[in-house]
Amino acid sequence: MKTIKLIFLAVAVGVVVLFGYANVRQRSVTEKLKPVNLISFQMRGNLNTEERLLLEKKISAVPGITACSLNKEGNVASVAFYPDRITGESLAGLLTAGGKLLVSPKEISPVGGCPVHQIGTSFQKFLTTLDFRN
Amino acid sequence: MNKLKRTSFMWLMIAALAVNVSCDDDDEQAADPTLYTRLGGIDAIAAVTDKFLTNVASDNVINARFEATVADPSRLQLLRNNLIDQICAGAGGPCQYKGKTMLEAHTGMNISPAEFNALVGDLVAALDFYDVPEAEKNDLLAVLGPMQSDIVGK
Repeated sequence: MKTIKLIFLAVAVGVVVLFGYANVRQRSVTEKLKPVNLISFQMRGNLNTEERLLLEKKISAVPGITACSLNKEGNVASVAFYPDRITGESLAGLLTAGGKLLVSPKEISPVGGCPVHQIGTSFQKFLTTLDFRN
Repeated sequence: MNKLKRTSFMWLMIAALAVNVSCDDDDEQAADPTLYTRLGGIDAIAAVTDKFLTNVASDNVINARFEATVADPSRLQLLRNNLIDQICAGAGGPCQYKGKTMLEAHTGMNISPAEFNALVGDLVAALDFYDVPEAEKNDLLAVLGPMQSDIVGK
């Protein structure tokens, strides 16, 4: 019984410490920035370089979108956006360039990527959840 | 009267010293804005970083290395914040890079020179998209360039 009480006390102290740390830690300037999502699309169609650059600038200027890039081959487009202001589905519609391009979501492998960010993500996300300042 | 003169002289000296010190600080700030200030602050750095990330995600030479990361909002956020922190801190801004060193982060990945050059090309393209002046662009690349030896071939 005493052991159970000690374990419970240790867990409670741990939770309080984590909670306190999450709310008093010095957040970097970047943590206060609004998060973005990024989505990539496969593109089929013919756009010359000028048309490609114009489409890129046009999409980049849409409210809610922070960046748009079409590669030189014209077969991949990626868009960074605020998910609370615009959806991935509406982005696909914007990229068709008035019907000149066929657009489909790019198949992404669910594994791989930067291993560093995979390791740190869960703890960082947990701390952000505990932080009332968000 | 002598006491009054001495007191007045003392206050005059203190005032002269205060003006001199404050003027010196103003001169220094006016003469040497940091690269962070010249780039346009955190919002400008965030905009360039977002453009850099979309360039990388569309770059068929290297996007396979990043696609699982950028497709996951949580991992993307951490990558984005680390990139912004790194540029901001390297440019003298009020940020602290909390990620791993470039050597630790890239050991075992066997990044080729072609892949590194493609990444730098994507960064330069992002800076050009926002018409970052040549001096600021070169200063930033000078800060980030030395990382190549810790990234390529590890």
